[in-house]
Amino acid sequence: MVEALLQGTATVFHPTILIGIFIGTVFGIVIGIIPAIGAMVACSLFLPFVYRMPPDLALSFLVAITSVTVTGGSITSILLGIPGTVPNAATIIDGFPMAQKGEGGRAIGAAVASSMFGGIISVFFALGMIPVIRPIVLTFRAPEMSMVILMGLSFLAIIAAGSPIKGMISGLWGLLLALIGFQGLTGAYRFTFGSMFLSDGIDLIAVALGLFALAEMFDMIVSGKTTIAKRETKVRMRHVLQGVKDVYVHKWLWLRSSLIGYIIGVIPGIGGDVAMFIAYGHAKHTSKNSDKFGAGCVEGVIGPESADNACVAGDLLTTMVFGIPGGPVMAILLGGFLLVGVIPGPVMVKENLPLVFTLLIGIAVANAIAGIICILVAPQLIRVASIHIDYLFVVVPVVVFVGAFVTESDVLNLIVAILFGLLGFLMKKFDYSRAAFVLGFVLGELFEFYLSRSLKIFGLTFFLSPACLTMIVIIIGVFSYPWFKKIVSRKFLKGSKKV
Amino acid sequence: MKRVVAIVSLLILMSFLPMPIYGKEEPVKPAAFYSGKTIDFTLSEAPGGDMDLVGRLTGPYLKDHTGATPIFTNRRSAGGVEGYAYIYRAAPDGLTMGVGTTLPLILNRITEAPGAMYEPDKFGYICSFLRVRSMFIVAANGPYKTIADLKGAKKLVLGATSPQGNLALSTMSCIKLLDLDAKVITGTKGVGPLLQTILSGEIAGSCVPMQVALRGIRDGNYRALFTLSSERFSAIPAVPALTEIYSIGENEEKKELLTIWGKHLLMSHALITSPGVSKEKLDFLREIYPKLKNSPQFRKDIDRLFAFHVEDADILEGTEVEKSVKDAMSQAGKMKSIFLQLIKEYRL
Amino acid sequence: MKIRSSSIFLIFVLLLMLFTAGVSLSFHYFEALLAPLLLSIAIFILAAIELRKELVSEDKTTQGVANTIPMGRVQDRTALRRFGMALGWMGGLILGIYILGFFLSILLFAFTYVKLRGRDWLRATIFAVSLTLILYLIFEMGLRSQLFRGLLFGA
Repeated sequence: MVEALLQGTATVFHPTILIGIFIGTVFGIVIGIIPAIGAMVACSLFLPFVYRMPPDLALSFLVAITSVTVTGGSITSILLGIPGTVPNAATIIDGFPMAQKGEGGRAIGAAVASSMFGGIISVFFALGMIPVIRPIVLTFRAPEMSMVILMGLSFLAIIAAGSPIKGMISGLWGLLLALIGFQGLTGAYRFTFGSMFLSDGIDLIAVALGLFALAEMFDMIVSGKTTIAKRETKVRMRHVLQGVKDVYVHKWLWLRSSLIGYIIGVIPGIGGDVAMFIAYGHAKHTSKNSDKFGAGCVEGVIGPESADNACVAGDLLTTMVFGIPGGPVMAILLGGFLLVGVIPGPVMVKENLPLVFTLLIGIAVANAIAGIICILVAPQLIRVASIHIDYLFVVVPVVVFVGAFVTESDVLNLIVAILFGLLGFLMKKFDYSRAAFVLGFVLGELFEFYLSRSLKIFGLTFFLSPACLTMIVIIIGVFSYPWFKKIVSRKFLKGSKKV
Repeated sequence: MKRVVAIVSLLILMSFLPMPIYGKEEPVKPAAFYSGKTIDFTLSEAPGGDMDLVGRLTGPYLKDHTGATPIFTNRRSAGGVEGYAYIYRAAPDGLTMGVGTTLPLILNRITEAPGAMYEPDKFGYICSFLRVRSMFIVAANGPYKTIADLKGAKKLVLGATSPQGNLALSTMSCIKLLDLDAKVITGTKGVGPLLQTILSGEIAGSCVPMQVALRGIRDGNYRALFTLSSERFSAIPAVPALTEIYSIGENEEKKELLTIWGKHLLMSHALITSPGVSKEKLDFLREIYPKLKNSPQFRKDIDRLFAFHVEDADILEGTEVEKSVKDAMSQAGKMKSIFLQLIKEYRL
Repeated sequence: MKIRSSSIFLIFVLLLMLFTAGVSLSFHYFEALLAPLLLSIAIFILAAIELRKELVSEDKTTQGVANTIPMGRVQDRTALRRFGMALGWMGGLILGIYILGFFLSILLFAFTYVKLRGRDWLRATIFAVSLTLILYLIFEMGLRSQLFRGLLFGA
């Protein structure tokens, strides 16, 4: 194992591989910045070009792209309120208000640094987990998956700022809309009204683009704002580095969020979108400044951004160990593996372990390169927040509509985007949580699927497996921890007063 | 008002002008027709899937052969029905193509899936790259090692993706043929997650396309009990055909079912174009078949993609694919009633 | 009792949930209708509670309890007009994309909007052309992703 690790590391730092990773990283950042494109489209685009390359180079290139698209996406999320990729929607909640307050540099510094360090530390988690990942992943059947998603859903109440009832309405509404389309369990088409466009449900990307980006445009026009940033600030590197320092100050949050992201990445079938929202919910839940969340709190950026890049290492490890993709991006990467003649699975781990290490360490290197590039260019990019609304009102809807079209190759997706833009504007105006809506939307169908499946296969006692019971205890523990802490500190204070 | 009427009348008259002035177009040779144009290439599944990769692999060969540049678009709604419908509705100019897996193409139509308004036997079939068979697989370390183990088990749960898809129907057919006490739970999104559920023991097994099963079998994750056909598969000769190891007796229903899977329902990844394309253009496009079949690089690429050697006999000419689809559709009525009955009986 | 716009939104939610509950009952399978039905009912109940809360608190305000200063009528109309204009422009862009395709409609939209906002001809032209060119280079040339050509020029 140690020999394979050394060999894998040496391969990563070979000049050709390093150049491949560098180019992949740059592409990944650029693609992440362009909304709705994402790693899936990027990888499928490059597949025909890479499959004649040597496996090490081809796969390192593709893995580099996959690892850093969310980092690039955080830039558009923070500066323009447009989610560069769907997982970045969680970053908008606090990142965009920070940009509006003139703290865009700090927000980008925090986002990029937490992504970078999150991506790097997750590689260490993955390396440590290689011998034990198989039995852990195989534990996750439908009942365990439904518990994990339940844990995600329980963050609905935390994510929603302000009125809990409004938060629940938002979350449940998202859950309901997620049920539109084909239900695999029964073969029924729900709420499609005969439309083939709706048979696969509503596109999440169009929802996120409309709910956040278009809604913000409506808001800016209606309120008469002329720029995103409320006040013009000359952004310097020190503002960006302040954000990097914030990650150090909140290092335990960064570590916990990275772990959350990594674990969710390991579990097949859940995905980065969920990880970011759970990490956001966790950040808010454990923060001393939870009332500031939603109005531009840096912890609200650190949490989700640490999780998103940490997801990739977990996802890739599961894909390599099992030969089964954890999500759509890994499905394309799996295609890349096959095209270059590498068959992922137990045989790969047994006979090609150095390649496994090369790819995992490649993730760390790609994240480091992406972090440095983004930090260096951040002061220039922040100027976007000072662009006048006259130009912004053209660019943002155009980018949103192009992005919405590209994902589904259907003009009807533009209608979806604008309808959700209207909904997002009204939700913002009437203080309903868009974040809770998106979390409900992302988790809704999954929860129904796994819960129904658990009931059908295992019956009403499906939650009695050791793994399920452990997760129930964790959920109760996580949610009762702040109250427990309050009670203990109150008792401690009373005790010390008596003395 | 008079002025408006005059202008509108003039416009209406002008719209008829191009017809007498330009007359009929001279017929253009296919090679000259395609040169420099763009082919709208539809992939009826998500990026990264087998069909998607096969389609993209053929891109350079298409470009070499026709001189036209393929632009790839994934149209995957409704399990790929959107993509097939798009190709079906396209103008018959031969500039719209795609990769279609014949079995879902046929089954969607037979079971009247929403949006499946096309007739599978009307597409222009150019050639096919792979003839796919199904294998019944179980977890290698699971409790079921033989058909006898499956038959001895009570209330088995098998799995599939879509309830009307070929995985579900082939798995349900296995239940019927083997008289298992089993039901099929559907809804898994894709074959990957389905395999995961077999590995974790959530379900006992499933009937999956062979190229997916092969990778897992070689990894030691899964065991193939039989192929759903009357012949062995050359890439894994140790796996028997169902008819070799199990006698279905004289039951007419079962015989019919086995004939359907063994003879009528040929599953292949085919290069297709829209209906109505002229015979000249279709013949020109079909000339790509020997180029693909005899190209060592292409054969190496698809062997790598599918992780086994694709035999010459499994790369078919367009006419052969067309014939087999027509044959399947001639049995459509019978198959529909059989499959709908299977779904009613065996869906969990 | 004055109905606020937030209350109208809630009434819309209530009506929508009645509709979805009704549609759910038409699904053939029990497993298909259960989740949407329960969710519709839950949202209906929550929305009703929230609506009642809003209407009751509105009543308290009219009974003289000091609260926030309500927005003036002029400001309401201005906000509505701006919203209508923004929606109109975006709707127009979508319609343009549908008829003329992405590139032509983006070019026209960018130029027209910026010009009507008071910028000079040169600035508006450069901005519109640059934006269209960048999108063309990224999507058509770079990503080989064919954008919709519109009814007039496309399929």
